[in-house]
Amino acid sequence: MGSLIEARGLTKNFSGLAAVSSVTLSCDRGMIHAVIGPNGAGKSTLINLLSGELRPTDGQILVDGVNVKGYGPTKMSLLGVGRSYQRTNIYPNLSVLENCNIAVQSRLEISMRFFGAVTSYPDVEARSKQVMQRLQLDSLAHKKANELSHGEQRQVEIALALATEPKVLLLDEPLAGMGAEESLRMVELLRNIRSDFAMILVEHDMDAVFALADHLTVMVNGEVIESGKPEVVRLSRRVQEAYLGGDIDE
Amino acid sequence: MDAVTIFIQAMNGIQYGLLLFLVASGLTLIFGIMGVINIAHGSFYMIGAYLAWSFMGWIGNFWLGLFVGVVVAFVLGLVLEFLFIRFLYDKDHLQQVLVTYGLILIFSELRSVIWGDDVHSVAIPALLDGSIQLTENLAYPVYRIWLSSVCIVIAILMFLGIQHTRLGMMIRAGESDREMTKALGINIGLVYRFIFALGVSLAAFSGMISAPISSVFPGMGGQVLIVSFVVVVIGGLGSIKGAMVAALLVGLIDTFGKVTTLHIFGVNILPEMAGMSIFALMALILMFRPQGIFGREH
Amino acid sequence: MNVILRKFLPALILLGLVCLPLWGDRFYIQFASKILVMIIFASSLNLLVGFTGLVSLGHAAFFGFSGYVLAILSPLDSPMNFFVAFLASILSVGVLGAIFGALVLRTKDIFFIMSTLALGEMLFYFLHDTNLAGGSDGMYINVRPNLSLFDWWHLDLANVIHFYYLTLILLFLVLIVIRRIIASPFGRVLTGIRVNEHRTKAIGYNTYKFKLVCFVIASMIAAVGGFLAAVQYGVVNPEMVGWHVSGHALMMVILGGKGTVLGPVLGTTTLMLVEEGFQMLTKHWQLLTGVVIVLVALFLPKGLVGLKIFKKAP
Repeated sequence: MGSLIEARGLTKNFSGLAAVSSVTLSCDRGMIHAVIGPNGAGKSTLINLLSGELRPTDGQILVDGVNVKGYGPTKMSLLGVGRSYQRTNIYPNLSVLENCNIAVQSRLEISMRFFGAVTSYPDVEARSKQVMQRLQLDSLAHKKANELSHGEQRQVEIALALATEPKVLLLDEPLAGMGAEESLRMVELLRNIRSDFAMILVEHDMDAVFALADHLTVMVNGEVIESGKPEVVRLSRRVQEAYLGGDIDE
Repeated sequence: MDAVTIFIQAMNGIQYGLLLFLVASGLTLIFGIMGVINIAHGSFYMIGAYLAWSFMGWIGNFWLGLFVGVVVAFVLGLVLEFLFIRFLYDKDHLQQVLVTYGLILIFSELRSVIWGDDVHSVAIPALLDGSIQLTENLAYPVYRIWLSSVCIVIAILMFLGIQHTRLGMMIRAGESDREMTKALGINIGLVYRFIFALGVSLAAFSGMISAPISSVFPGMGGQVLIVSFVVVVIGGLGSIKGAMVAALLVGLIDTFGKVTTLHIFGVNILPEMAGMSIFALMALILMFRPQGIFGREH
Repeated sequence: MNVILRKFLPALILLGLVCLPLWGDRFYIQFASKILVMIIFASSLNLLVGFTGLVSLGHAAFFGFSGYVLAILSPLDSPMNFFVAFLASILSVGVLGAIFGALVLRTKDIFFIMSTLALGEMLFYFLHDTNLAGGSDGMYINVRPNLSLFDWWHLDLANVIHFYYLTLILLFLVLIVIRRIIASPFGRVLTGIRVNEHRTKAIGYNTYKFKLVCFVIASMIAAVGGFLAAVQYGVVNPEMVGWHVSGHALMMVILGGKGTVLGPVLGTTTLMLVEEGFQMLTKHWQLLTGVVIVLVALFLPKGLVGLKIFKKAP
């Protein structure tokens, strides 16, 4: 079974400080691989490395077998790696529909057309509508993104990644800042879309992690201290010690 | 060119560069710490020169005139920050450019109203008048040596201040983050006011001390502004070290460009196109290292 | 009342513009032409500033250089073919825009503003200090281009009224072109770059490429304005590429309201009329202009277009 995305011995140093140290993981289509760990463990740095926003100091990243050395975020996106951000990074004063349109258009090779009005390309809006439906945003299509609730904005955050029709989804704390009800809804949404992607999920919300993850990797201080099936990992003593010296569920 | 001429031109180039450093450092400081792009910065250089001409004329003494001029410039800086600049801190750069562009027009016309549009000169003070004999035929003006020395002293003070004060720490970190500054226990409003006034004074002082060797003319603000921008682009924004290196480079290239002769395929490159030489350097930097020599990656 | 006005106002204004030469005297027609030319220039700058978020203080380089191309190509004692001259100017500026753009677009924000300013000034020094194009005196266009179609229809560009109508037609074409660009898929990407360039890159757009194409288009539209200005004055000089012209145009864009097609039209007309008024008051009129600019920048950041009277009815 090959993987859609694979990191081998991935390392990132910032002025002598190792933010990520020799991390190896992989994820295949239909699988959700969650990465957890205390604050400062290097999880966001890991996502930044996998999405191309940071260059690794050492190690390799392979996407569908292709070594993506030197690929920046634009190239990674075109290769099929989509990511969402921990801090909402959308187009705030544009409508939800237009947010999606911009992302959708990136795959349609029409972006260098100057003269045809956007309305003469019905494909764009059709695909946007599909994306919005998958994330239950269709009723909000014409609302400005900055007028949405926080949870709804987080949905748009993921919609932008989804709209680029990726093979791999890197989600950096998709539930960040969400209340209980919103979180449940997001977990449901992610569950509904899981079969189409290789999903790497960084999260702090343990309920969500155990509800979704097929595979769990625990990072502390930039290193992987445990990796495997969630039920097994949660019982590991090393992991329990790393998390406040107590139960991982706290 | 013989060795002595090269030496003299090099001295001139360094001296010009040091003056540029005073102006450019103010610009880069204000941007680095406060996040404000102030394109009226060149106007302060001009205002300094005209103030010098006035005060030295009234008082009749170069040194007193200089002192009064710097004080007036500092107060002007405080007032300006209070009236206009402090509204720009969290605005976008376009708005900052606009407000300060309006200020350029206002300063220019006020200068025209107060001092007129003529070109003036300021006399070199008696103490510094005269030259040092280098060879039998060539002498180098004492005033220029003094000028360079003053700039170097100020530069050293700046470097020391940046290395050893909390304020300096802020500058080195390149932070224009008000939260972090508050956490350092500094009253930010006053700090910003002081820094801005300091920047204004630096530019004005530079204009004052350069007045005896270059003339005092209406367009001098615009001219020095452009060159300061070139210095900051080459050196890297927010970097004092970068401003110094770039200013010296620019000073030397500009000076040597004007006295070198270069013809390629019958086209007169130098000294005719000397005015463009610093921009050519800037274009090179933009091509190969767009963040500037000492700047951070974008 | 407002609804009726809103419906017929554009048509009325259009009518007024078309009929201007009938009731205006020579001075007003020339002044109106000046305004129309500046609207073209400001609109081109708005494409960069308002729609893509690229604040350029060197845009006059393209405006002025266009006129210089015309001046250099124009024979000393006979007219050039208008279409050849026009095309040559626009395309030359397009090349210049590609070179400048490729350089400055490697920078962002403040650096971008400063680099555009510096490159514009480089062109100024090139034109001013060398003898390649008349130096500080500039060049004359002794005989204006000859605009005729198939030998039966002929516009005399030295004629104030003919020139006015040419400018009016070109302005309309320019506004239509800009409108279409904004509404196109390309325009959508520009909006994405303006609102959130980081995310736009991360979803797969090579934003440098888009910004460069936009920069070149904007430079060529500015060239249209510069060409007309050169034809109107019959002379070009280095000041026409200077940063004061760039800054002036930026004021017009902001005053009117960036990011709208109407903004530069309003801003340019208003500023030029206001300045004309100031000039009649005092020789230090720039002081008043400066005050207006500072006030507008501080209190009217959305420009005139943001004022209530221009808001659409809910």
